[in-house]
Amino acid sequence: MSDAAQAHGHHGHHEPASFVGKYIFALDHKIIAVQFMLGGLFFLLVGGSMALLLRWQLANPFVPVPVIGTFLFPETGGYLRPDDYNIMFTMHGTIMVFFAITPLVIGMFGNFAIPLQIGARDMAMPKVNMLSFWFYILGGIILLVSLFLPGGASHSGWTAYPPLSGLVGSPDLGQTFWILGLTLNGVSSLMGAFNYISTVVMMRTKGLTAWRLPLTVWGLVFTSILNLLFVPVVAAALILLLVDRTFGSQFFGANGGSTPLLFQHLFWFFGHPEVYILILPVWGLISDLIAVFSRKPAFGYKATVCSMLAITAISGIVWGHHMYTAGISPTMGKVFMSLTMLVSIPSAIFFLNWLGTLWRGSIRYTTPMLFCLGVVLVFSLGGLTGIFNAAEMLDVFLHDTYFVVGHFHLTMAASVLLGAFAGIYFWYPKMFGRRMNETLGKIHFAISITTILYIFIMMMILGAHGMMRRLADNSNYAFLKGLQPQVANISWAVLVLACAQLIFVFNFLFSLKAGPKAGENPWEAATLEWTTPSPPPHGNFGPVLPEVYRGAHEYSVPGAANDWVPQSQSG
Amino acid sequence: MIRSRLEPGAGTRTFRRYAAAALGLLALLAVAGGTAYAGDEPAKAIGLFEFPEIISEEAKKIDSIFWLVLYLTGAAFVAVAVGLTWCCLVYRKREGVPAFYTHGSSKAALGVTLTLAVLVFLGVDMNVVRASNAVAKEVQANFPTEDEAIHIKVLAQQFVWNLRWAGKNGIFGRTDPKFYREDNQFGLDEEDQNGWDDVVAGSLVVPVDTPVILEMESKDVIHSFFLPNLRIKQDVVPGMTTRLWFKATKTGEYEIACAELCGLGHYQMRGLLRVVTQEEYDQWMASRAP
Repeated sequence: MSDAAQAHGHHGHHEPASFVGKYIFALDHKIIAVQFMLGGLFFLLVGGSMALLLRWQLANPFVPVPVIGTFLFPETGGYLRPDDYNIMFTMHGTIMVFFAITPLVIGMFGNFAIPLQIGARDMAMPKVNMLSFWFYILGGIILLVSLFLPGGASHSGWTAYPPLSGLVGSPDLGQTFWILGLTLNGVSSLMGAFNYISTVVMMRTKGLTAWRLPLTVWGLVFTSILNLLFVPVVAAALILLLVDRTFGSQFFGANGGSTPLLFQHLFWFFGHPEVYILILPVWGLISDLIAVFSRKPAFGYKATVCSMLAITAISGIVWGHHMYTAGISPTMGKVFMSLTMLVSIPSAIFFLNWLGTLWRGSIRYTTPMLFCLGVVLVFSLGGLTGIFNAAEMLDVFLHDTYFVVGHFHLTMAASVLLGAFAGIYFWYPKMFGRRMNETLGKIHFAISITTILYIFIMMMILGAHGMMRRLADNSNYAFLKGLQPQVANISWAVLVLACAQLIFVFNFLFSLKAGPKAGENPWEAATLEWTTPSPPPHGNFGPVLPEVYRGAHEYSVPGAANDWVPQSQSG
Repeated sequence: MIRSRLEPGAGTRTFRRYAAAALGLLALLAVAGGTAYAGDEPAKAIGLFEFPEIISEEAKKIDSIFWLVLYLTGAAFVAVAVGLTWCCLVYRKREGVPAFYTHGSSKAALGVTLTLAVLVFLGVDMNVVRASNAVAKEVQANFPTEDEAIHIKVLAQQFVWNLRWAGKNGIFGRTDPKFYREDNQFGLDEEDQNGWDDVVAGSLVVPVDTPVILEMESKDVIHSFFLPNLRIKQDVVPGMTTRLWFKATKTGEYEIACAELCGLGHYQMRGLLRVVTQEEYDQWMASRAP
């Protein structure tokens, strides 16, 4: 295999000379990774700004947004109408899940880490890789354009349940654009998924057996498998919805043998695996990084991989727990509850292994390590609160309240984003050849983790009061009005969290020029990407591909010269 | 600390200057935000753990699951947090103390892993499932018989709850969507005499200590009938009839909420639940009879 890859490297990869070929329609996986990262960060900014508008409206219902209000909502003199609020949380959810987090943890991690960590010169299909990025951008543009349509963008929530997302509830064009944008994003994910799997299966360098793969690669492989299995389902649902809207069919209508519940089944059949699609790369990454910065081999490596496999399998049979109150059979509710509980077993094993890696380590508190520890803390909270929602009869109360909002933000938003930041801080020196500032990184971490915990724990407490999600104004209800000070406090914390991200943006941009030179291996890590120059040249590995002799986490080996042994070191 | 590993370069000092500027800017933004923020007159504050009053035996049972899960997951969270803190404090980098080289793949580690799996499965998972199923048996599956309960039909529409009682004869009149009008939200067929005495109202009036069965349908999109004080909700789906029952044990006025996003007026789709004595209920019924 390595011979074939080498021949490929010599004949297939001529470095593009033009700017457009090198940076716009790039084929080099490292450039595409950076493109995905910048795209993801851009949409993170857009989605985050929407969150700020939402929090403003909740803290000060129907009060004009300061400074930018008159520019954003000129018709009202600057405040959000209820429909604007609905549009904002719909777009916030959609953009964050599909256009911010997905490109960061799958597009960026996958493209950057896979070829470098498995000792390949590029992805198996570089052109498909490029196409995957541009489908993502196209989908994003369609979604952003829909904000300016008459009638506004989609306002039916990121779950888009018909009939609200059908012609009955959304006769305007915004919903159609939403469907198109999301479908293109799904196509992008599919192209990424089969490319990643092909690359890992076919292009591993000599000696890199399955049990020697970094856990990041394992996480990305399982994510890709889930993407391949479940994205087509949601794409089908979206296309049926599109046909319902444009040609008047009744796939999700209320009569003629069809039911709106069909869409919910299809959506959550994808939607639940989607949360594992997002978290698996992060689990893989932090399993690797905790080993790097504890200077210890990853504890229970095979148990971690088996747990990822178990999660992948279980994720496909639990979707009904989103529908306990939707009108499905109570018996099915009980089946789905029992199946959902199974998730906690592999999850517990992850935590055991992370703590096991830290145990008797020699921990270095670098910025990426802090973010990894943040993931462990935040995900433990998010995962455990899932049991409240999984308990069928309790969910009858908690469903569609802020308890759910707090829970899923902890798991699929905060954990995944903290993981994405860990990845960016960790690979930044390899990507750009310079290091980010550690002090600013630590300030960024400290503010982020504090506000995240406050925001989402408070949301869960409000949820335990029964506070419904997606309300433009809570003050209509007597049982919610008295909680307004807490709601406003959350908004404050969100503002602080948002400002802390400016520290990251500043650090990111400034370090490009002024960061200290990174050298080949600033973190003293053992995986293959750290044997290349920073940034790695086109084709990654010079004339001869590295050969692998050991596992991915050989740290503090007794008798070794250094406290890490690179995977490519023989003997 | 990694600080010692940073190469002392030209960037570091400039970094400090810019970092100070960035933090200053943040402080400015926070102050600006503070002046822009002007709160309303404060409503009567609700305590952080002052959850909505419980007004049925069934709601108490549902709430008991909350506390059970809180204790179980709380214990698990404390275990993780203590383990994490302990490892982070005790095993930070110290000169001359190398990390312990282990892959955690010994038989002992496998034993710990399997023990944990069994512990989580039996101790947490199955305990919660058992508790939920026990409550489901007494609440969800324990529908009152047809004759002991009061039947009320709920027809949801954007953004109102319509309610209908069968009236004196105890039989609901026939309805058809073709009769939907402003003054006939249920679409009652005027030719059907059974419907002549049907009582239609905007708030849910029920007698205390009496089981009530709600039969719910929707005209347009999905809504969710939510009674916070009774700890229950049920989606109302176009094309389906969903059912819910409760038995309120305390008189008073409570709120009905819509819990499923149903459009721009979703936040205003509020209803009223009035739990009254049997005499008041009979009086009210008589006063509403057409």
